[in-house]
Amino acid sequence: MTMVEQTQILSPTGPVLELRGLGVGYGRGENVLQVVHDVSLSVARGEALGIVGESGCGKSQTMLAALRLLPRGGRVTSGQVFLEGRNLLELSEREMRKVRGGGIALISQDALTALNPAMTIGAQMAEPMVHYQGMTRAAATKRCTELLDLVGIPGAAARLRSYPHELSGGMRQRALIAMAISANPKVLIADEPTTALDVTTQSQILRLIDRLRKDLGMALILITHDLGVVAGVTDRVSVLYAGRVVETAETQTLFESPRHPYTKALLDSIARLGDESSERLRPIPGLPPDPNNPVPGCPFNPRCSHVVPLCRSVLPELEDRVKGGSHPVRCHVDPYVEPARRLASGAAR
Amino acid sequence: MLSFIIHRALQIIPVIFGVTLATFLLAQIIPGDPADVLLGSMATEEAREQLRESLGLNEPVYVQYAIYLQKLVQGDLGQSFTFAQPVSQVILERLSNTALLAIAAIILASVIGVAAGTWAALKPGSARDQGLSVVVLFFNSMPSFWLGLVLILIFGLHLRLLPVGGMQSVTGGGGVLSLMAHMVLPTITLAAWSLAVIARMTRSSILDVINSDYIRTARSRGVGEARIVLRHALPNAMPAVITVIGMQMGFLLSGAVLTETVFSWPGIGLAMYQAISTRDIPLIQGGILVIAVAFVLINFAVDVLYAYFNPKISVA
Amino acid sequence: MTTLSPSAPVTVKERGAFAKRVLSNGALVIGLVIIAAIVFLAAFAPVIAPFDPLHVDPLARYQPPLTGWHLLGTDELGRDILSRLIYGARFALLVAILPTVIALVIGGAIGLTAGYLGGFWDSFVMRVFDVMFAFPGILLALGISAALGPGLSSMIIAMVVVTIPAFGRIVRGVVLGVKEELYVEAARTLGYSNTRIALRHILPNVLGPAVVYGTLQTGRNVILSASLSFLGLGPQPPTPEWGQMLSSGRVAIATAAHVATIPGLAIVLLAIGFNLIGDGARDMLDPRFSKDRS
Repeated sequence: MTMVEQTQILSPTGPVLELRGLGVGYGRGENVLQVVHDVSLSVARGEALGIVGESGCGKSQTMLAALRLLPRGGRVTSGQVFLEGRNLLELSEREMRKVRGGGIALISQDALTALNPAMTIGAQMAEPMVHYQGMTRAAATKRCTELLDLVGIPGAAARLRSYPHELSGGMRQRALIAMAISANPKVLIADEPTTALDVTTQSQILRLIDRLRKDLGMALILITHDLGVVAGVTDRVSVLYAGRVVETAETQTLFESPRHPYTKALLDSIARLGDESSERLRPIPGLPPDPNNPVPGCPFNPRCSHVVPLCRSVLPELEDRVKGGSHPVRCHVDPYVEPARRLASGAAR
Repeated sequence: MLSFIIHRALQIIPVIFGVTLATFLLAQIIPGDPADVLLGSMATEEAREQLRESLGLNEPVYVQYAIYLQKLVQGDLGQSFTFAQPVSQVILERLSNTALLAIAAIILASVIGVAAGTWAALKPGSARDQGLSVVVLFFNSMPSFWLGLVLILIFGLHLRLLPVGGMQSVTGGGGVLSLMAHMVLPTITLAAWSLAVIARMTRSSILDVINSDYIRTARSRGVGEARIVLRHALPNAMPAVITVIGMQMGFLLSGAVLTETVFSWPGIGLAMYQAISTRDIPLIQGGILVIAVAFVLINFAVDVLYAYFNPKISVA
Repeated sequence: MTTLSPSAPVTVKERGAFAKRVLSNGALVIGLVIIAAIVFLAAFAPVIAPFDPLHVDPLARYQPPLTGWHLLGTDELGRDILSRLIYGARFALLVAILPTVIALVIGGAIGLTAGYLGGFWDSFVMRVFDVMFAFPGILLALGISAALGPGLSSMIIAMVVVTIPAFGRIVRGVVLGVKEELYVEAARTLGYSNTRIALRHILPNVLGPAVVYGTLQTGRNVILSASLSFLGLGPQPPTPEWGQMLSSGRVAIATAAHVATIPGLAIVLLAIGFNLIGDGARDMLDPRFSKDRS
């Protein structure tokens, strides 16, 4: 089954955003540091996709590449990015600027650094409206006030005149969300939106994002290292490891029957509430992968408890040999699925 | 904000005292007998003793310092024997000339320096960036007086485009245009070093800032590159640059000694050069004191301005 | 929590890698070549210089360059400029490097005691440094030099004095950074002399910033000394000192410009050499010192 067919089955209504075989690297010529190898994902209109992985696995880089906002030295080395069928990588910078904000919007991780400390919230928020969408200042101010109300920031008028450092962490994050949705994007990418917040605020923000995307009909991509965050918010989840997708499934399925050893390990490392008798937190043994020194074969093999010799030499393909394509996994062993349920395939074991 | 100003003001008072002490001590380290210096070696012992008494030179050092301070407060900086005038008068008459040159130079250095530094920072490693590095290297390696001489040579003597010295035309009616023509070369000479420092600082400051998250936020919302630089990057890069500009003001004031000498510009600097030739210690002391205190006050003003424009600092 | 930097390369392999890094920095290499060339000229001046730098020839005053054997012409007293330039290199190097070294030793010692002892001494030293930093540019050096009278030694003294505060601050900063470790180890190993402990912890950390600042300051010293000489505060004529030569040549700028401009070029070249080395040193050492490894 080809990748294209897989993604089409996963998103039957036609994806609003689709990444195919995306690769991201830094540097040129001999010294290219590959941080994303071959990532394919898609998200449908109104759907919420979670992207989960350790820091450094390439999840943020993938999304920055889609927006063509990679930092200095970074390039897309392979693949395509389709927004409603248009390949974004082929657009001119001018056309791409129109896509940013209105087509795809980004909510960054740390709201304190993501807001310009020298500009008021109102000025930053209104900037694209006044200068690129042709609104008058009065109209922009009105819209900003609406947006702040929408994200649950009280006293909008005063807040617009405040500077970022005068707001609390939670309010800053809300302001950032308001800025992201201001141009009614089709896809909202939230990159670790809760990492810098305390636990109570975390759930508030998550619920806000969820509510907004349902109300405004946006697709949502939620990037996080914490599997607990995607539960209850996303429809599907893709797990990333060492710059590759290793498992994609519906959220419920991923939690109940994970198939990739890495996913299982991630689940095991989450504390379960109210379950004191259960196992203690089990961190994943070994070190995270180093993009400077990629290992041959499956990138997870040094830390995998189900490893077989094949894993050390051949990189597994992302495929689903069981359920008819809705739960692709990148693993030779596929240890948690009973052997009988596996479709016969040509590969010797 | 007010408390910040008061706080900073209290901090600089000891420094200003220290400056007066240091300036006072300069006279103390002069080898030999001051009376000899002032009266010449032919004077009688009587005359010398009289002079010593009148100058309070027989008192212990701290008493002399107290007398010095007392006179300072009254505006008495001693007598310049080169100009046969009180030092304070010599300085006051020439202060505006030096200030004019210094202000013109700092404006030139800041405007071009910031522009060049920003321009280079937008494409780091490119030809324009390396070009700037070369120019900065040269400007930082040239003594200002040599640059001044070369400019005089080229523009004054060979091309005959600009006057070679002085503040006004010796012939002719003077006026603003003449003044400006006379200002061109000295201003460029004085500004060169600072221009290089400011350009380099701006470049590195912009580079620090351009990779910030908030720049990425603005870009992710479709804000164009020109606005990103002017409205987001530059304002956040400026605080570091402004501090440097404040420091350079002091450098300009002291560098005026060299530039004014080369161009015979009638400012404090030229007076100090003349004072050096004649070993007119009071005038040298007076000039150093005035410039150093001015530097401290300028930095104070810069700090206040910085805090005014940067809301985070004044709150802290 | 202190961040100890790597110490200077010790093993043969480390030295080889270090040399390679030095050579790959183009600017640094150019700077080293320039300085090496000037050092060579200064060292072999008696052999290389075509004329006696002090030899006066009243019949050959203000000769333009390439007159007879005077490759760079003669000055206001008929002395060969090239020879004076070559001999002048000795002074130029001396007044650039020596004040840096002396200030490093004295300033370093002061900073060391200030950081280590703290308390009143530390506050006092910092206040004094603050006052000294309040004098911009050449002002303080000018004052000290003028007070002590013109001449080479007073110029060097002045330059040393104005350079001490910066080195003092650098060393003090390093000492403060490793203070905890110093105390811990002093308590642990009562047998060792404190100096040995202090050196072992302080020296590696001080090396980088001191080298970077030192080389850049040496570049600044070139300009500073030339400026002081130009104002008449340096070695007096007939000493062939570049700043002094420029000053004497100034009167003839309209008719014999080479007398003033050529020594200036030498000053510029020397300054470029040290500045390139300083920039190169900063490129190589700074990322390791200013970025926190954690």
